[in-house]
Amino acid sequence: MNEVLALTEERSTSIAQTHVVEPFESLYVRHRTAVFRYARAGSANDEDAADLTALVFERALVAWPRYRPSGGGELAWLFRIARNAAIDDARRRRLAEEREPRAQAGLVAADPQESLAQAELADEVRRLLAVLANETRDAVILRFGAGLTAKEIGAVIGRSEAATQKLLARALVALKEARHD
Amino acid sequence: MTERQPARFIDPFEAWLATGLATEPAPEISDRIDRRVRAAIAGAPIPLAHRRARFGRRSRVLLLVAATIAVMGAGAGILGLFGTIFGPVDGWRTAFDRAERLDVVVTSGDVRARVIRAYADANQVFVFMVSENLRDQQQPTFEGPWILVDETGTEYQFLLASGAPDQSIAAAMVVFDTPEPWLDGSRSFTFTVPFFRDPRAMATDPSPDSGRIPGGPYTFTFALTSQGGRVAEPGPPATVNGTTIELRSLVLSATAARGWLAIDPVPSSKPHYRRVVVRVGGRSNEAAHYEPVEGTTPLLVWFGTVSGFDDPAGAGTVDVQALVPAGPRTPGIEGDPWVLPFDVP
Repeated sequence: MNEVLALTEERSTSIAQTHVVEPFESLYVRHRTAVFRYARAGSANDEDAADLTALVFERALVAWPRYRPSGGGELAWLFRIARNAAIDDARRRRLAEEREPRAQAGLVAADPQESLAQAELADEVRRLLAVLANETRDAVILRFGAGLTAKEIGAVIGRSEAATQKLLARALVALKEARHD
Repeated sequence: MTERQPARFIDPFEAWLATGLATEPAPEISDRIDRRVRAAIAGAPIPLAHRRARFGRRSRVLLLVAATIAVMGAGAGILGLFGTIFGPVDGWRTAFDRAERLDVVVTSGDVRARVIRAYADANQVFVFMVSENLRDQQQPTFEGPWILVDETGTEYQFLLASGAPDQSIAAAMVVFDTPEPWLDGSRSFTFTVPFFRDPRAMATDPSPDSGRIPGGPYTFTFALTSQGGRVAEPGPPATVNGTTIELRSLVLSATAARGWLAIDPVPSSKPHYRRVVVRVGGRSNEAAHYEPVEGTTPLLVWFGTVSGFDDPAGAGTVDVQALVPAGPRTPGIEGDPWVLPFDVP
């Protein structure tokens, strides 16, 4: 067995599918929870987060044929799409609520699968994150919710890795202070 | 294809943050996302160069396609390369042996591509081709997307491909699923390979154009006469441990057996159906392809073998020997096989 065979066997799927449908399927399966967590941190309820998550992957699918590996890799690429989608979504919701305020805005839907303690913790963290500026809050969610590295986060928000690390460090200080206030 | 593992945080405050943000979508929320994204994938307007894997009329796209690249030593003959592709799979070798001999050559850019044989029966269409890199004697060429269309404009569902490169030359077998219910008579086909690629680059770079070799598209036209097959008449369903499985249809040909199963009630754990064996005339072939159609009640599962039956006649059975779950933690259904009789008139 040579290198080509060995590499191909690792993929264990059709060459065709591997490079057309499979990569996007694979991308979706690998990162859907991370994207959902990012979306959920900024959404009023699970349904809104689900819609935003689906929108992110729908947009990513359209952009996928043009994707080329670059700084930050596929995660940074995907979360740049997610961040833009979240900004668009927030803007749209704000406009909608200005026209017709929603009675349930701000409520967190109870998740039957999630323990009450976890739901309360999630709510507490989300409230705490509200003290941060948008970019800093995004960086914290990407780090602790989606599990991105500082380099990947930097590629999403347009900062260097070092600058992102400083941003995260300052954010943690601010959050700790806010929690104890 | 697994989810990326979450990062671990040692600092208590960071761990607290991570725990608070570790929201798992509830099953109905997860389904809601899945439905939208998978619908988008199924309906995506894929550019010509990427069209091969577009989901077709039947929603049972074969994602569990097995394909291999084997590399022969220098100087291996073309027949040797195809022998490497076929391995122990009788159906593929049968298709090659019974294929119509063609010699349709297209040269474009750095690649000369030649369709040497093609075969059609009730279940499948096979295209056997050889491609050669004219510029780089060390760079193998293999595949681009593959598209097969007949004279009516019907696009055939790509099923699998397997190739064997040897330095600058590669042999490839491309298999397409025929439109339902089966393929009969003579057809004119247009087979298109938009471009070729270096399989070594494809193995390390997942982007759609990785390893692309200048040239293309490569369009081949040829006519084939289907070698037919036999349609079986399904017998009664079988019930084991409260689950009833019915054989809805079965088409047998020299290269494969293809059919539909209906499972009632629908298993809750999205099982993959493994070990379905078709037996008739003293010969048995195990299915290699399975595709459940999600959302159907009872659950419809398409299955196919990669070896077939010559002139099958008389009584036979489809034995469903195990229902194995998709995940290691979800319970599957195993036990006495569901034995589903059929008759080939």
